[in-house]
Amino acid sequence: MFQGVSLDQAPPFEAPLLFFLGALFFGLLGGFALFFDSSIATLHLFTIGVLMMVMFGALQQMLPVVVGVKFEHPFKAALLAFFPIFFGLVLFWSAFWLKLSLLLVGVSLLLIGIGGFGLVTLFKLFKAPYTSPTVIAMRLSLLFLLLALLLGAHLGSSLGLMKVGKSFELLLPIHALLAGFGWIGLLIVGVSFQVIPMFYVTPEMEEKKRKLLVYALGFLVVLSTIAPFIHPKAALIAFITLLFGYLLYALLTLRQLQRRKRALKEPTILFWQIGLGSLFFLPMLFFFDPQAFAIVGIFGFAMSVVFGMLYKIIPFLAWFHISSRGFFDMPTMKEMISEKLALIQLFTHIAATLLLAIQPPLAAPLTILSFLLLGFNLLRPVRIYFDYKKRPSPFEMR
Amino acid sequence: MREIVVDTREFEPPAPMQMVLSELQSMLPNQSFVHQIHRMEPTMLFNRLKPMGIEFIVRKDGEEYHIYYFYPEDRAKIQELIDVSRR
Ligand code: HEM
Repeated sequence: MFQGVSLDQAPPFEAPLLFFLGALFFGLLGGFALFFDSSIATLHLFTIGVLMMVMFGALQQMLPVVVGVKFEHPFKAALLAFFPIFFGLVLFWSAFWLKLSLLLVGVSLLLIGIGGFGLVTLFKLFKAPYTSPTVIAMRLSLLFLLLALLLGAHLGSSLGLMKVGKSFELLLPIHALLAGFGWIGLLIVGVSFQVIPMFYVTPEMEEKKRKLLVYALGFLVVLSTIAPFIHPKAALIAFITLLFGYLLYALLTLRQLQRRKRALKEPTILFWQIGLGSLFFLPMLFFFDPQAFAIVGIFGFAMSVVFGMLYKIIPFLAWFHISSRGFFDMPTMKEMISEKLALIQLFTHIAATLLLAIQPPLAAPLTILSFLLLGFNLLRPVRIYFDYKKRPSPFEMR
Repeated sequence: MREIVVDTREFEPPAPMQMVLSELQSMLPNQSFVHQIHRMEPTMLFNRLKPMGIEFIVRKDGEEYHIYYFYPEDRAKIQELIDVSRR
């Protein structure tokens, strides 16, 4: 007979939680930094500190479940990646204020933390028992991350050694392209195929379309990387085509959200709609306002989607881990997050993004408020998880 | 064999997982199996089954997934039932 479930394959909640906590820290640090600086250094507090941290946590959680492979020592692996990235990023950022040569230490730590985690994850993905468009997107995404990391390390060490040559100018946009549209973009694409039908009760996107999107976007990233070495015009054409590829992705995904079986109205759908909607502005902004282009891409698209995902994933994981220990009396996912406060956080985030594109220092207070609200909103499911963790499992009492 | 049908297509998580887990409690070897109809592969749930000693077969039909859960000793019978019903 059925014996209950006390064991499960998912890694302990603490492993992804560590990354999510790191993301919150860097979001707040980034918010304070904006008061006096809106350079590329501060931008990396958000791209590495917030986006990458969340994505590493989510990957670690999704790999066993979606792909069927797992980390042997999930919490140790998380620690081994987390601390080098944490201190590496702090040094990377402060090097620009204190002493450029500190960049060398910062970059080395980032190479260890990101490179280690990236390589292990990529290796696992190639050993996956089955492939799906999501798995292919994740592999490409990690491959692009490793390339972006190497280029970033080259840029950082050139600055650290005060040897900025011709290659710097050429490789700078390629680094940003690989990191933004290769790593972050393709990961979101792959993950969305999985989480949108799951959380929003929509049909899956057709397999053909999913495959086409992943291969086309991946190919266009590669093309945009190579093209600058051939001809500037070729580079422009390849990149614009890539932007329209993402626009097509946004269109298909928005339509998929429209097809949800129950017209549930809830803030996290709005996070997705705003994130995907941001992609429509990119082709125009690329020509008229490069700074707004980067802000709308990173904060409007990636950050909105990542926030929306956190509001679903954290309560779900809390529920999952508690229930797998045999409890059935815990609050529901809906009760774990206040919809009203999530909505307020969303508006704060949108306002902060708009101000960032126009007047970055003015965005500082709202960015801080947005991350404070995010932390406050997500504290409840985490507290519920730890409350239940302290109680003996009903299975063990039997 | 008695078929216990659970249609989870229109439920938000975690309801689909709860519904199937609850039906699995009443499933008996040699007597019954659970047939879930869902909008995607419930991979989170699959991960929970391994330690429970329950097996499953997935069949895709258009936009729907049909997932059959059973005890290992019933595999041959279930396979036959699925093949017949799909002909
Ligand atoms: C993970 C996501 C990352 C994203 C989205 C990202 C994005 C960017 C962007 C948009 C730029 C500016 C490009 C331009 O002005 O044309 C940039 C520059 C740079 N990135 Fe990254 N980057 C990431 C990771 C990294 C990593 C891991 C490193 C170091 C190991 C790094 C090191 C650098 C350096 C040194 C610069 C040049 C800074 C300067 O010119 O002052 N980046 N990055």
